[in-house]
Amino acid sequence: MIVFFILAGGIILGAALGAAYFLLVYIKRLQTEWQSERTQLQQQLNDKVPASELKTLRNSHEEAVKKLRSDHTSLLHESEASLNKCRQLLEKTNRETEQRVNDLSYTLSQLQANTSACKAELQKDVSSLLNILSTLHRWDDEMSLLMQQNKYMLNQNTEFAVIVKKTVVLALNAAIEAARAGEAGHGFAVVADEVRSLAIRAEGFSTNYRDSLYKSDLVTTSTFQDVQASGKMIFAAVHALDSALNKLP
Amino acid sequence: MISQRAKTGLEKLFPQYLEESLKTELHSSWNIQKVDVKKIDVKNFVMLTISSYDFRLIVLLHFSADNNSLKYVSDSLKIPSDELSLTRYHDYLSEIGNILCGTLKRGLFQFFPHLGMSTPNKLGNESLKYVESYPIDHAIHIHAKARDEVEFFGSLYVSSIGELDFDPATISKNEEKVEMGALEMF
Repeated sequence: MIVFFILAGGIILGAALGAAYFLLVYIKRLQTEWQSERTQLQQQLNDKVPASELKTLRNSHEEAVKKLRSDHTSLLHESEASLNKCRQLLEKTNRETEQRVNDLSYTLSQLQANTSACKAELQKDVSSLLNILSTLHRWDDEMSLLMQQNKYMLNQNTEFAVIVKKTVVLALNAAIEAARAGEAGHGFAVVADEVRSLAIRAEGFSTNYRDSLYKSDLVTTSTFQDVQASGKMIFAAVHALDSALNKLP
Repeated sequence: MISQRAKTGLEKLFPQYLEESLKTELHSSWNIQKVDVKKIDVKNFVMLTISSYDFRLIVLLHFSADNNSLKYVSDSLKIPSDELSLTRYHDYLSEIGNILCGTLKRGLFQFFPHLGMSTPNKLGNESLKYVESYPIDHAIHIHAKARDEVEFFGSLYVSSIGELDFDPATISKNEEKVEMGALEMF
């Protein structure tokens, strides 16, 4: 019986201890949850504006709105004033531009009139310059005559050289004949020697003259060609100028 | 004053233009070589001039009236040799000189728009030495021979007052092409 009571008492004590343990765990959990909820509530409480500052805030907000309205109104007035100024400036500029356009149109028309007059004058001058062709032809003809004259003189000199050569031979023959005649031909030998000497000098002169004519032939031809080629160049340049002038509006 | 590249250009173009001017059906290939002026031993030459503000070019085509040269011309004109008069022979060679000079002028025209060219004149070789009395800046002498029988000589003298300079590499191919029979007109 005692054992029974002891066992029953033990069981009851164990059950009581178990119940007490579970109760402790439950209480601990409740405590943690409560702590968390408290922290959240504290946080919410911290986030809220205090009632004492609320009025101050409202007042400052109303002040700011009033100031903004005032600024907006003054800005609006300033803008309107600026707009009016711009309109006036634009009108003034328009008037001035119109005046300048009129002035420029007048100047342009005067310039056009002057340019047309100058162009007409220039065209007339250039057209008359094209008559340079007749001058070039005249030079051409005259230079051709000079070249022909040169050739004629060369031919004359060739003939002269032949005569001189024959005279030298003749003088030599005369000298031989005079020597054959002996004392009687002495006077004739002197004359023949003199003639031979003159003929030899004439031969030298003829050779020099021929060389001069060859040089003259080249110089004349070269000058003629340069004048002719340069004349064509000038004529082509004037012609190009005339064409360019005619293309002008 | 002639620039080095202009000298080089003329030394390339002049022989080429001479060969093109001399080419015919029967004489289509010419052996062209540079030669010393003292080796030019012929009777006559055709002379032409190209003038500009800055320079003057004197072009010479040297020739003799030997049988081979006469035959070359009569063949080119497609007439019997005995029908070729000396005047016609000279006229033909004057035309060759004209073509040569005209081609040279056209080649230079793209660099020097103001150029004029003379008509040809025939002179005796005795006058040749007097060309050297001009202020010559550069001279080119070439010998052209075809089929080992007919030969001509070409000379180009450059006398410059201003500057003669051009880039030969920019000469267009069209300008280098020679049109036979196209006489230089005024």
